[in-house]
Amino acid sequence: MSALQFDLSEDHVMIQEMVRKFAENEVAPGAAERDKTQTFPVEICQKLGELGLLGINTPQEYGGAGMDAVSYAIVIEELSRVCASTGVVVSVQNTLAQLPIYTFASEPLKKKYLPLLASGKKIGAYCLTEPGSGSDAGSLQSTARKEGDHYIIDGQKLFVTNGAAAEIFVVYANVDKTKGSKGVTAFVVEKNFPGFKIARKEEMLGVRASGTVQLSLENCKVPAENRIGEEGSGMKIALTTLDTGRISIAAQAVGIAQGAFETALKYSTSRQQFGKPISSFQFIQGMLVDMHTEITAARLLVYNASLLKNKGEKFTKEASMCKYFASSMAERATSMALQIHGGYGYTKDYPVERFYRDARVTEIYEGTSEVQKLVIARQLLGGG
Amino acid sequence: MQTSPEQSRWREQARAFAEEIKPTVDPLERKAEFPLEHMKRLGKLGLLGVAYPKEYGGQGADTFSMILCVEEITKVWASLGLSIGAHMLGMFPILCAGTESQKKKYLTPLVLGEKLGAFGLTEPGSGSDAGGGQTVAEKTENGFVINGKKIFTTSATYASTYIVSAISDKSLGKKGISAFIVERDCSGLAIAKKEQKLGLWASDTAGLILDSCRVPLENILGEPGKGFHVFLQTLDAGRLGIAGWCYGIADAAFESLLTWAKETGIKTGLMENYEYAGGALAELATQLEAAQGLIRNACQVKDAGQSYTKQASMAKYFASKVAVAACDVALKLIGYEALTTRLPVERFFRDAKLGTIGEGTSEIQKLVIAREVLKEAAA
Repeated sequence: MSALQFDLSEDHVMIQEMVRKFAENEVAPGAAERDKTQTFPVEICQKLGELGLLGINTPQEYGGAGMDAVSYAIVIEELSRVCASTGVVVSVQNTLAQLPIYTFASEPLKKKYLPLLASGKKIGAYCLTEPGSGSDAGSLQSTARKEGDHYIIDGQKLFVTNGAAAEIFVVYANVDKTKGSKGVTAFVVEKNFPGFKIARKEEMLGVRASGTVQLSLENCKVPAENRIGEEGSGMKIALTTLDTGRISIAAQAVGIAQGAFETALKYSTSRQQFGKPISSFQFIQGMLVDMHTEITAARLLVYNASLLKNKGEKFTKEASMCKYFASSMAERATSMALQIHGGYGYTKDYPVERFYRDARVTEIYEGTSEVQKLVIARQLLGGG
Repeated sequence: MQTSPEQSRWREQARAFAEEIKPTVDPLERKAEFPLEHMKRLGKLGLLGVAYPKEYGGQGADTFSMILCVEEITKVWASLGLSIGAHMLGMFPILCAGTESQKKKYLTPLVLGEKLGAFGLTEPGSGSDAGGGQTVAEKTENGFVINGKKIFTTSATYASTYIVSAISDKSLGKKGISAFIVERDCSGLAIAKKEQKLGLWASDTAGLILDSCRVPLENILGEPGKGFHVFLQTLDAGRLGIAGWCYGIADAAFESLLTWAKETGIKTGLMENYEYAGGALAELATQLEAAQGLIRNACQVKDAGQSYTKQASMAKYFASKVAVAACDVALKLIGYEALTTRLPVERFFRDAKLGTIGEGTSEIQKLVIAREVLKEAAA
């Protein structure tokens, strides 16, 4: 079902085939049940860890696979094509939990945490969003004050994907509120540090198996050496991480849309109405054409941003563009896929209602579409 | 939108009921429990027969009054709104094609909410192609024997009066389809499995299995072979109901958005600093007003006794789009929290999508509208 006019290398094709097979055999069968029961894909993560897919971009010296950005996008798309929850779980594990560490942390922190995360022995999560600070990440209210050889962190973190299963968290807190966003600092916090607790599990519309929780840190004692980078470098770390995170979410959106599209294509050729397959009606063909065209365009934007990243060039604008386009595309595509299924699409007998629910969050997390537009405009007009 | 004193009165009454039941909505919806008691109470309050003639227990008000009631109740609970819509589908064919004695026997208890009605048209192989059903009714000396399967029958599990389409003369094609009143206790009628759905969990969706189902001769509705016509007429009325239902969802999503805008959006500066938010709000407000205008127009054409097929399809096509868009915009602007079950938006979002599918998909509405427009152009 490859629609690509993009020159994937042999290695990329191999990864794609391998992950697709894995996704179909290991991830797809339980996806509906995990969605229903909000069950985190623990065993799948263990197997993905063994395959090296939980540390795709992580350097090999720290237990990662050291693969390129295009490989990473392919993995996220293929997993999301059958299970969006698994797609985002793997994306958070790879990027949000590890990129801040392998890009900005001290050598001892890298050695301590990356092998655990890249192998899947421990699940990681990322804590930026707070009750009063979503799109405006710099205004976060969590504080970190230094006491001897520790920091004491206080605050609430919302919508922490993987949070229910994670043991290692990248947490942002402000060491000096008078400095505003220049006081924001990143830390590695372990689940068993005193004062750390899961406050609530979220029940969500989509990506219901992603273990999304609210966290509370109360006098949470974190060793000073667990600080990532310098004090006040948190916003830079967060924004750098989000650049790659946005490519992941775009790849997730492409995967969800592709899964929905394939389901709709199959249904439209087998469902007969008025004595012929519904795929022979122009309304249905038009929807299939729009879906396929937009999915292909979104995928090419994802690869474009990934290639820039591979070259070591700045890709902030391209990451936001692919995230902005792919997420709104996924909403349209899943809506059309459900529509093609008619009444059956509204039932849980087909996976398309799940794709429809899962697509929505791609426009919201890791920066809403409005935020992406601001980022893109800033890059276009200067001031970024 | 301006409403007459009578329309305002009905809307107020429905709103009061909706406010009262609000605390029951989340628990019942989450348990997927059908609002049987609510339906009975709606009947007692006259809210199931607002636009039905007084001689059959109705209130004799105009159609828009009834639609306003559907809107108000849907705003609080779309599953209940849909149950009302399905009940109307069970009543309307009897009103428009029933004999006097059928109306007395079947319509009055439905209007009063003593019994629930349902409408069985869709079959496993016949959805958009509504005339392509395979259910057959064979005439015998003392009645009809019906064999076939219906799916996606709203309220099937709880209804006791079903209007069912079946082919009584295969040689005549669509002109061989007849409509029948089937009672719950007819021998040979069974209810099939309940569907698990994206939304509308408390609304009941199940199938009818008609296995040598025996119906008395007098339970044919209207003349033999006029069934398809009865069903098309019913769908016109049903589409108006669904349009109002969609408007109710759109309005609920819009209100959630306004609440957010007042409480959070303005406080955080999102509303004033970002034109996107204001623009989306403006667009939505305009679409809502337009949808309500289309609905009221269709009601007026209907009450004037004219054909309102085009107007009903337009209202349903447009309002269902607005409902989905309103939930979309609310999700996006409110953001992450709206994706959780802490706010009602995620429920309305799941519910809304039925609007573009039920009682004729948007694609079918477009075919209907185009056909009517071309018919007018040729006249």
